[in-house]
Order: sequence, then structure tokens, then C-alpha cells
Amino acid sequence: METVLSIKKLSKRYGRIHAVSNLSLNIEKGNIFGLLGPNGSGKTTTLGIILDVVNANNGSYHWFGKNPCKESRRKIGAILEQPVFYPYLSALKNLMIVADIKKVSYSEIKKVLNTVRLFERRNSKFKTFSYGMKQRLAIASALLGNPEVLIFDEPTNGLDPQGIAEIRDLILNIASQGMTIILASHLLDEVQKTCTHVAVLKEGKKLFSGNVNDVLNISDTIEIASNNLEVLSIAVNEYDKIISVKKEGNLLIVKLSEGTSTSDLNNYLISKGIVLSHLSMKKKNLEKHFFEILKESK
Amino acid sequence: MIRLLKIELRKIATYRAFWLITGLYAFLLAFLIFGIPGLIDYIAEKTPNNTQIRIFKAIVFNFPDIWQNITFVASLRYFIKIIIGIIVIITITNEFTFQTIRLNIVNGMSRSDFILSKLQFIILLSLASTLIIFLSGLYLGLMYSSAKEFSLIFSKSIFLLAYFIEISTYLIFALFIGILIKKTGFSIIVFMLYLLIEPIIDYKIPDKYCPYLPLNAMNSLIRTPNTSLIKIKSPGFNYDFQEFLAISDVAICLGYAALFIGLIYLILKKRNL
Repeated sequence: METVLSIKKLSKRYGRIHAVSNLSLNIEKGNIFGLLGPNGSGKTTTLGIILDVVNANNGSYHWFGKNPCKESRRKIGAILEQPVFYPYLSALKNLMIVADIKKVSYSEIKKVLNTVRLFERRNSKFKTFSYGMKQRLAIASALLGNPEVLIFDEPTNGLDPQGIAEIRDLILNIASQGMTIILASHLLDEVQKTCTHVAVLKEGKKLFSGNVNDVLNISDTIEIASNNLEVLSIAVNEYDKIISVKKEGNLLIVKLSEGTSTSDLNNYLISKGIVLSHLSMKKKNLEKHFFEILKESK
Repeated sequence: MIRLLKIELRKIATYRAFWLITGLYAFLLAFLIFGIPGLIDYIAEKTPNNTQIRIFKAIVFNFPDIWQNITFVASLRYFIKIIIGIIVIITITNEFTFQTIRLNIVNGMSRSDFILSKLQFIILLSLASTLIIFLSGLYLGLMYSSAKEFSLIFSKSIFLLAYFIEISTYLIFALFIGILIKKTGFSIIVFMLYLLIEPIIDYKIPDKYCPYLPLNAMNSLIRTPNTSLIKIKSPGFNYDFQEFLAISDVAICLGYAALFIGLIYLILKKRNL
């Protein structure tokens, strides 16, 4: 695998606040990498550092295996927290400035404006755009010059439901073309629906990172109950395909090892002469896992 | 190199505020150029004993001294060059107000590129301003100068170079204030306030240090012209004529330009954008 971005022990302090502390990450080519965390967890600061608008106190990062430089930034399309353009210039003029900076031919502008359906409004001033249109123009600007990596910082923030759906479709569409994408979001749903990999941040620290599917598999849990919970508990604990058992009220919360199904568990219990009064599988989503990770870290 | 200037020009090409202020500058300048000869005539008419004023008019537009006279007036610190300074402040502070400096960096400019693009813009503004002064001087001279020989016309045009160095340094000073303060209104206030503060500092410190104050250093490139009223009013007064630019004056002025550029670089390097 080719590493697109590697971050080593990055730290950033604002006064006494540690916005990012000792963060290390590797992002491989083709990943759709979610940076997940509540507001103030250091996502935007991290993106600011790797885009050279924020100075880190410690640590280093490398793009495409090289020290960061302006040439590597030209291979990255980035959407910052808010769509940023010259308000008094038209959409077209704004994109021409970006094309000049990125050393991209103007002929690409039409293509990206069509992708985000803004070509008809190309001569309107940026300040006359609605928020959704501004965000779409930001995506168009990020797409200029066929970048190898796209960075989205809270791309659906402040949009109405229709706008959110549009932007997500756009991202998924772009992702399907095999680009590496880094997506910062506080919305688990968004990360779950779009990302292949995820790193969970809290107060600037990385709590967890890995493949999104791994996270989902590990976190499937099963609730079971029977007339005699203690007998059930002993029997379940003897079962060798169990990862963990937890008692919650008059239910047992069971995690099964990978490849073991609920019917396997049920068959085993029946063979022990135990009849279940309750069996339900909780396909746990990233959201619960996320909150669990956050809680555990306290 | 030209690429950065092109980007800079695209930023202002359809920016109405820029053209409004530039228009104001052009209007004031035209008003002065075409108005001054008439104004002198008007004053002469109203004054009973007007010989001195008539002499003044007869020599002030003479080649080649007109170059010193006109560049001296154009570089007066409380005069219209403030308007170009404000243009520079607005264009730089806009980059912070609209956060577009981030747009530039994120898309692949280095901080040095960004500074260089602003410096190129300043050089262009200074060249344009110098060209306007040159054309104005040429017009006034050809209209009113008694001597019009080709060799005389351009013999003291070194003062145009002095004006160019002075206005460039002055605009770099404006750029520095804009980058330091970031807010448009506040930057303009500080920029204007400094015009009033420097004379106070000048008054308080020992005389030998006065030439080293930034605005004094810029202004001392072009000294008070020898064709000024002082000479006319007191014929016996032996005024020190300035025939050439003093290298030391140029060095102090360029030293300030270098200092401001260095500080700008340090500020932008340290700052989170």
C-alpha cells in the first residue's frame, strides 16, 4: 500500500489548551478516512496543520512520502471549515485564481462547475450564493486539477437536509472514482455511511483508529435472558466462542467471536438444556461504539 | 514571477472598492495638475504686489527643476499618497477578513509566494504612480517651462527614481501595518495616526536621530526644492540645493523597506492563518 499521508506525534497547543496531542496517523492511497470526534476534538486543527495554515508545536507530517511543500499541496483538494472565496468576485473568477495557484488549465473549470451544477451561475458574485451553493463551489475548487487527495472538513455543516444529501452523493460519487479522501466530521452517521477507515479523536488525542467494518463487526452484541439468569450465566461463560459477558438488569449482554452466529449460541444453550426467554441481536453501529470509546476514555 | 502578479491583479480586477479609491486618487491628481497653474494665477490676481508669485510661477514648472518640485509635492506625507497606502491596506486586510489567505496557502502558495505577490503588486502600484507623476510633470513642463531642450527635460529625472523608491517603501510600510493588525478599519486608523505620532517622536528625541525615523527617512530622499518660495522671498538666503540623491538617504530608505519585509515574513511564518 502506498502511504499518502503519515502524521507522526503531532502536537499543537493554544495557550494551555492542547488542541492536538501526540497524534500519529497513516492514510493509505484509496482510503476514505474519517476523522471523527466531537466539536473541539482537534479535527480542524489537525487539518490546518497538514495544510500548512496552522503551525504545529511538535511532530511532523509527510505528504506522498515527502516533506510538506507547496507542490504537494497542489495535489490536494481541500474544503476548509467554511467555504472561503473572494466575495466580490464571480464564481468563475474565483476558480481562475485557484487554477492559477494550482497551475491548472482554465479549461478544467467548466468541468468542475458542471460537476457541482453551478455552471449556469458562473458569472454571479460569490457573495450572492446561498450557503449550499458556496459549499458546492468549494467542492468544485477542491476538484480542480484532479487532485490525488481530497480533504473535507465538516462538509455538511450548516446545510439543510436536501443540501446534506446532495453533498454526500457528491462525495460518494467522487470516492467511487478511487480518490483518497479525508473527511472530518462530528456526525457518526456520515462517517459510517461514507468512510472505509476511521480515527476517533477526543480532546486532541487519538482514541481509536482502524477499518470501519472491523469496528462494526466487533461491536455486534446479543441480549439474552432466561428464567434462571445465574444458570444461563454459568453456561454462557463456559461457551468458548464468547468474547465478553455483561449483566445488565435481567439481561445478559454477550459479545460473540467473529464467525459465530446467534443460532450457534442458541443451539449450544439448548444442548445444555437452557431455554431462552429473550434473544435479540443488537447490530451496534459506530455511534454506540463511538460513545463507548468516549466514555471509556474518561 | 509574473504568475503571482497575475493572480494578484485578478483579485482586484472586478473589485469595485479598489477602482473607486483609485478613481478618487486619479481625480484628485488631475484636479491638482490642471488646477495648480490656474490657482497660482488666481492668487496672483488677488494679491496687489504679486511679483514674487509671478516669478514663482515662472520658475516652479521649469525643466529640469520641475522633477524635484513635482516629486516633492507628490511625496508629501499628508498628501494624496495616503490614498495609495489605503489601497494597499484594504487589499491586504481583505485577505484576513475573508480568510482568503488560507485559500491561497491551502491551494499551493507558500508564505513567501504570498508576500512576493503583494510586493509585486506594490511595485506595480509604485510604477503606475511614478508614471502618472512623470506624465504630469511632462505636461506641466511643456506647457509652462521656459526652457524645453531635450537634454534639460530629462536631466533631473533621477528624482522620479527617488519618488519610486520612496513610494514603494511607503507602501511596504502600509503592507506591514495591514499584516500586523489584520483588521481594515483599525489598520487605516493606525496608519493615519502614525503620521501624527512620528512628528511627536521627532520632537522628543535628539535631533541627530530624527532622520532615522521611517517617514523622515522616506521624505528625506527628496528635499525641499530650491525653487521654493523660501528662495524667492529671501534672495540673499543661501539655500542648500539638492542636485543629486544622497546614497546614504537611499540606503536608509531601502533599509526600512528590507526591515518591513523581514518583519512581514516573520509575522506570517509564526502566525496561524
